[in-house]
Amino acid sequence: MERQLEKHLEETCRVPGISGALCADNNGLCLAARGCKPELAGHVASIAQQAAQLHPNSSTTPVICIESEGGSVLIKSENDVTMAMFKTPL
Amino acid sequence: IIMANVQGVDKIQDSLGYLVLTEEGAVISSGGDLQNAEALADRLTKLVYTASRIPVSPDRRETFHKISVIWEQFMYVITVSNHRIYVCKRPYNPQDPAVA
Repeated sequence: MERQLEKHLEETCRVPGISGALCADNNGLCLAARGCKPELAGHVASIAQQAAQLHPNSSTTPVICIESEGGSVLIKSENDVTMAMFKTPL
Repeated sequence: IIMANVQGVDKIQDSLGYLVLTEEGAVISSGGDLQNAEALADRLTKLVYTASRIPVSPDRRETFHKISVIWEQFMYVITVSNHRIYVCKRPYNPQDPAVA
């Protein structure tokens, strides 16, 4: 059932600069992960919810970008799915 | 003397507001849209703690230097330095918005 999702994640991870991708549901369950530990699903879902709570009346959910020298993570949730993209500098 | 705590975060050019917090999330200084925003400060502190648990780079010792939380028209830019959490609210004006 999740083959199509995994196929999309695999294609995404082939893009230069993307080291990993993860898909989580609202409860922090890992739906799919590539290039990163599935255990991160809990933290990813949690941070997406915490960020949305900053402005609960907003019509859109925010994008969270966590940056460091060695790479960054982009997190966004839409409907009931939260995506995290792990990027490394080229 | 009080403004020395702020480290210039209040003077960022397009700033709509700022917060300076202790590591525990207590408000040291605030201004603009974030003036006295204690509830927001509390939620931002929790967000910072969760973000510190996400490995941002292959080097396990590395922690983040910046977090951006971006909505359609504005964003919060957060950094931690010297046991203080600095938050700046700024407009978000993408030059070329990505279209799906």
